[in-house]
Amino acid sequence: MPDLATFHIEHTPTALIVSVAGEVDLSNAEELNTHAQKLLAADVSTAAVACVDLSEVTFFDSAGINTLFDLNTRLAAAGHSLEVVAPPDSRARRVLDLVQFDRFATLTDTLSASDN
Amino acid sequence: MFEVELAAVPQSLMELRQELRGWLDQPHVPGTVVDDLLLAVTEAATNAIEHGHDDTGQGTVTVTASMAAGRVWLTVVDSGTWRPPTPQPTHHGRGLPIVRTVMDETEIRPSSGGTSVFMARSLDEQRSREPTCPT
Repeated sequence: MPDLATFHIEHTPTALIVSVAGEVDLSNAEELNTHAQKLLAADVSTAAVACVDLSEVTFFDSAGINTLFDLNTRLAAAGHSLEVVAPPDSRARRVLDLVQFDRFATLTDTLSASDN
Repeated sequence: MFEVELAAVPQSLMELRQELRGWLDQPHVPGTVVDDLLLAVTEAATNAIEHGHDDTGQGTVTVTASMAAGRVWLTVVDSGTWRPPTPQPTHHGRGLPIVRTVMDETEIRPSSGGTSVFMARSLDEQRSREPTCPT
């Protein structure tokens, strides 16, 4: 069975980015969590931004949302902030807006130029 | 009429979406409505898998759907032994509020044989709805 989603981690001079493509639900939310942990394990202090890019996500629900909330809490405890990228009208954005995720972390339409 | 019975395991969720997406692939069903229905059915089935399964690992989740008069009805029924309801219906309590927001009607009926979630949603993508979940 093909993977429901693929994950890619990228270090740039100013950001650590976990990019997700495909569908995220209860069956692979733990996989998202494993990759998200790399944002915590890596030396975030050298990067300006810890970022999860959901631009290529085709399904997202509360399982993924819960993972992002947990990650945000742990990053905040370590003195860092989370940026989540989800374009307007994307599936991930719909769910992030439903739970008002932007009240808890930075939500942006695209990867900002400074991340690249 | 759509009906599918799945093992109450997380790996069934993708199959559920594939099957329902195929059934909803009709010209008069807007894509945004399909997306919301797939979201709602996945949340309800996730709830059934996490909380409704029995301890034998043999639990099932049955999803039925029908469409008439510009509306879609979805029912998610689990076969498991019902556990007493908790104040937080899902692990973090975000699943059911999402369902209630994207669907027009949501009703949860626990019984000794399992839990049934009934949902209805208009096919009108312009229908008024609360923009966010109650928090």
